[in-house]
Formats: sequence, C-alpha cells, structure tokens
Amino acid sequence: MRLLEAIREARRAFILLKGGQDWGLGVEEAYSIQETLFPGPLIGFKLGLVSVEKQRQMGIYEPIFGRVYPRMLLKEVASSHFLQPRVEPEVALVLKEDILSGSSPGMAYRAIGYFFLGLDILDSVWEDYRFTLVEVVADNASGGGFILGLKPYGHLPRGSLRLYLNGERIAEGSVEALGDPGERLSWLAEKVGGLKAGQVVFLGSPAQAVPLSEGVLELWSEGEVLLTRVT
Amino acid sequence: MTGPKIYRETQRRLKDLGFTFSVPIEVTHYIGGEFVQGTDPFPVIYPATGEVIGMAPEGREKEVEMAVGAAKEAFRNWGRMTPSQRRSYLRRFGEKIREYKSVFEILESLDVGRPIYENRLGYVERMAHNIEFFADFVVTHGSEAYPMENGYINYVLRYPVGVAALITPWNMPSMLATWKIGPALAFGNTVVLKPAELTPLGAWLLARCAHEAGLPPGVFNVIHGFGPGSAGELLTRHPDVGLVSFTGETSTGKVIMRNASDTLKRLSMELGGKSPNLIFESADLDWAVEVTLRASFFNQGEVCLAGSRLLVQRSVYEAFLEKLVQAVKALKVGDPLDPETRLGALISEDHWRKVMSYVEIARDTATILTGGKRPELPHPFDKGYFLEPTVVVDVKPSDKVCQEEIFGPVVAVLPFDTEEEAIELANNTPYGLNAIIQTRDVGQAIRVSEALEVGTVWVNDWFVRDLRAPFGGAKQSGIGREGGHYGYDFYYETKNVCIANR
Repeated sequence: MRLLEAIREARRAFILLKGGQDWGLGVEEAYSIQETLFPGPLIGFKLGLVSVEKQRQMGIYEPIFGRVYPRMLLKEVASSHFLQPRVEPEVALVLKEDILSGSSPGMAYRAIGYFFLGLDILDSVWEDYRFTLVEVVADNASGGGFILGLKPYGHLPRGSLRLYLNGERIAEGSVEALGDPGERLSWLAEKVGGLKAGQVVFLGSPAQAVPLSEGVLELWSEGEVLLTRVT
Repeated sequence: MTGPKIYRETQRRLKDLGFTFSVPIEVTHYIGGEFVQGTDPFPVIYPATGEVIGMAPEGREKEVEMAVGAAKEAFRNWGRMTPSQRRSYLRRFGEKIREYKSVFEILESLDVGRPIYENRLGYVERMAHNIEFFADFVVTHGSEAYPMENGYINYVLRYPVGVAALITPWNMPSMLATWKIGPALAFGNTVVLKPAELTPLGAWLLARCAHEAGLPPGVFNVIHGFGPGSAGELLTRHPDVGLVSFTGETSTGKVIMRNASDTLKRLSMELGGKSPNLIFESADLDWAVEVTLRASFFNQGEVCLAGSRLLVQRSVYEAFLEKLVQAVKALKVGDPLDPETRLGALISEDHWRKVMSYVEIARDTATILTGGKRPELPHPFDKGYFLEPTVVVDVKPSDKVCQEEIFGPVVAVLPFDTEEEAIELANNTPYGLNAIIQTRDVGQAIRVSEALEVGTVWVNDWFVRDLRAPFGGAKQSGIGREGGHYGYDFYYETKNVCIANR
C-alpha cells in the first residue's frame, strides 16, 4: 500500500506530499486506508465536500467523510501543530440515540440531541490542498482538529454562518447549503455501519476553507458566537 | 433581565479565548502592588442590555490615602531610576497589554457599549504603544543649554514631579488611560488612576497587566469611585498629589481646577468640544463622507473630538448630504460584540436621555434627516441605550444643537457660502478642541487652519494622532498640551542651572 505508507510517513515526518498522483486505487480502498491510518476509538465523524459545487469539482455525487477521534477536539488552536491549517465554519450535532445502518432520514433526524457551532481546522497532507478524491479520503478528509461551541441549539441554526478572524470577515455561507441533517446522517450511518449515541458529527462547511493565521476566530450564527484563540 | 445571561455569555466568551475570570467581574482597587477588594460596591452596567456585568468598589479617604501613600513611597525609587531602567519595566507593561488584547477588546465593549469592530482597529496595539512610546522618548531626548557671552552657561534639568492623579473618561477608557499613564510613568512620576465610575473594567485589567509586568509596588495604582465627594475629589485635593491630568466634561474640569487650587497642583485638562467639520466644494465628496461618518459616529459620537457640527459649502450641500444620509442609513446599530456592528449603545440611561433631549429640540425646531429614534432591536438589546445615527438640518448657528456638546450620534449641518463665513461659523462656540477641514485646495487648507481657534486641525482626515505632536484644546476645551516634549511642562519640573566659568 504505497499510499498508506506515504501518508503515514509524511504525517510522522511532518512534511507535505505532492498530490494529484494516480495510486491505482478506488474510493473504497481509500476509506480502508483512512481506517487503518486513523483507527480510533472514534468520537464521531466529519462530512466533507457537502456542496454540489465542490462535489462536481471532484467528480462525485455524494459527500465524503472522515473520522474524528478524541484528541482532535481542541480547546484552542496552536497553528504550529498543523502542516498547512485552514479553517471552515461548520455546524455539528451530537446524537442522543444510536442510528442503525439503513435508518431513514426521519429516524436519523430523531436521534439528534443538540446542534452546536463548530470550527473545522483542516490540515491536508497534500501540498496546497491539491489532491484527488482518493488522496483526500485516505488522508481522513483533511481532518486536523475541531472546536465545538459550548452553546447547544435545539434546532439547526437558521440563516448564515459568518466567520471572522480578528474582526475581519473571512468566510460566510448559508446553513441551508449544508443539506438536510437527517439525510446526511442516514447516508453516513449506511456508510459506516451505524452511528452511536454520544457521537458528534460535523456537517461540513457552506463556505470555502480559509488559511489560518494568529488571532481570534469568531463564528457567528443567530446572534450567538463561538470564539477561539489561534496562537 | 438582570445578571445571569450576560454572566454566562461573558464567562463563555472569555473561556473560549483561554482566559478565566469570575463573572460578574469583581473589580478591585490596585494599591501598592496589591488588589484590594474595597467597600461600598456599585454595579457596572453593560450599556447594550442594561444588565449588571460586574461590581466595583468605591474608593474613599482610606483607599485614597493608601494609594497616594503607596505612590509617594514608590516615587522615591521610581523617580530616581534611569530612563532606560524605567523603559525596561514599561516595555514589559506594553507586552502584557498585547497579551490581553482579545480580553481588552471584549471588556472595552462591555464597559462602554461600543462596537468591538472599533476595538480591533489597532486600539489595543495603540494602548501598548502609548506606554512604550514615552519610555523610548525619554531615553532618546536631551535638554537645552544656553551659553552666555559673559562667561556663564545655563543648562536645563528636568525631573519628575511626584504623584500624578490621572482622572480618565468613560468613552475610550483603556486607550485614554494609557495616553496619560505612558508619559506620567516614563517621565518618572508615579500614578494613581481614577477611571470613570461607568467604565471600571479596562482600568482593572490594566492593573492586572502592570502587576504581571512586575512594575514595582506603588508605581501604578488604581482607585475606583465617583467624582464629587468620592475618590475623584479626594485625589484632586490631596496635598501629596503633585499633578492632575483630567479628560472629561468642561464643567467637571472647572470643579477640579477649584479643588486643586488650594494645593497649587499642576493641571492638564482635555475637556469638551463642539468641533466643526468643514466640507469645502473642492473636497473629494466620497472621501469626505467616509471621514464624516467616522468623525460623527465613531464610538456613537461619544468622542470629545467628534466633528459634531457639519459645515458644508452650499454648492455641494445637496450632493454631500445625499451621499452622507445614504451611508448613515447603512450603518448597523446593535450588538456591540457582533463584528458587523458600527454603532453600539450610549453609555447610560441618563446619558441617553440627555442626548434624546437634544434630539427632541431638533424635532421641534429643525429637521431630522435621518435617525432620531431608538432602533428596533431583538432581546436583550431592546433594553439597551441605543440611538440611531442622527443628522439634523435647518438649524441656526445659535441653536443649542449647534452650540452645546451633545456627546452622542447627533450631527447638526449648516450651509455656508464663503470661506470667511465658514471660519466665522467654525469659531462660533465656546469650545476650541479641534477642527476638520475637507478640501483639495492646499492654499485654502493653510488659510483656514491658521484662522481656526482650536488645538488640532485635521485636513482630509480625523483622529490621527502622532504622540510627538502637541495635543490639547483651546478656549473652553482645555488647558495645556500633552505629547512629546509638549508634556514636559506638565509631567516634569524644570530647573535651570547657571554656572560661572571661573
């Protein structure tokens, strides 16, 4: 498995890889590599490429997912821990019930406990985020770290997500663009063989990822804010 | 709603930023290097919601005695240090302020109700710079010598005065405090800071910065409390206080001068203003609108330097006002902590009423082009002291709204025909703090600058401050100048030494 070794070695040595190569692998194999590289125990999953535009760019018709394990949930962000960090404004949810593989979107929706604002600190091993679908999937969907807001929402936040770095707006997108959470969960449960109560799922970003730099990150939605210091 | 929600919110914000403070914030005095809990606590209100965000103690005789005593004691060493020794302390002070940047940004908004957007326009960096600039200034500047033709030479020695009482206003509390703390400490004085009772949070955090920077105990002290009959008055009467620097209302300044006269203190007073913003026909109107928006509505217009009288040449009057009103209507008023907000709340309910009383006069006797009412805002901001940015026309130069300092988001507009008329109008108030001239005619800029009776003229911009330059007000806007060597006569004693060559 050249791809697996390449990513493992680059992550260990803290260096970047040139993406866009043909590794002779399919997406299913990429997910197996992801699982081998990032075994768990997991506390949840992240969705990536949730917008139709991003999916078209990669030539796919569904999102991708990555694994979230406990030490990826951060209290604050130290950029030096990442290779080439970027940030995306997101909404996350925490499940109050299990979702079996094959559950309908409606059943999946009823398993949602609370929604939270979240930040996805992306960190691809692929230089300048130029990668093929296989490459990004194998690299855990560029999963770096996550910040979860402290304020629970009983519903999907309405309106837009606005992300600021030191007061300057760097990304904005509508929550609607994330799609229906029930459908997303039903799809994900099918892919991963079921989800467990207490797991967190990051629903992806309605906006472009932005390179991270030092300062204060603010994510606003519905008059609520998630703040994080980036050092 | 009082208390709990804003407590949780603030706690969460600070925690998110990696800082832990107890909320409600228990503001303390800082005396002789120790945080002193004090007595007679009064509430600190968040102007945007009317909620209590903290409690501050009221300093009385006991605390003022302790603080002045500590400052006097500390002066024995601090005043004798070399400028570079003091500089190394003050640089650490500046660095600490930077370290707490994101907390200052939030506290300043909670204190004042001003938009966090403004706190991020280099505000905290400026605070640190205010301290560091003067520390460097003292190290790099010398004094004069006067050789005489008959065998004598004079040279000038300057030395610190002693204990400085710094009484600072509520509109930009942390920044304006550092304007005074910087030169006072760098020139070798020790400080007792008395922040405005409405906004004690910034000074409390400044004390923490000074403490963590390791300033020797007593060099920098903070006493909270009110003016008359409280910490403010006690400081201005205290025999061991050598100088008083005050920024605030003209009426308060007069009281302080009376109090300070018994013990003949040095005084520096930066008082009210009713500054003219002159728009001449040659001005770049789009830029003039941008400058005018800032000069009129920065900090909800609660700025002594605000260009609150807009004088517009008749040939561009309509065109300028049309652009201005359009831009004013686009200003977002509301939650001070939302980065999109451009106007927050006024400082207090009392002040809101005072500002509204001028708006009501304007409603009766003039025309309100835009604004003039409380904006509709969602809970909890419906309880805040908000006012839409307000532009008033059809006024006479003698009207109250053209003569008195409103200190809110209210500008009065007067047309003029000629340069002479503009100058006449501009000088036609008891105030003389500053003026703004917007023109592309350089000769005109020079002529009008000369003719205006003010301490500062800004041409084609506003509120640009070089700490080397003199700053202060003419007429009823103040006494004395600060900035660079202009602060010598206030912060220093000056001694001439005359030596015979025999």
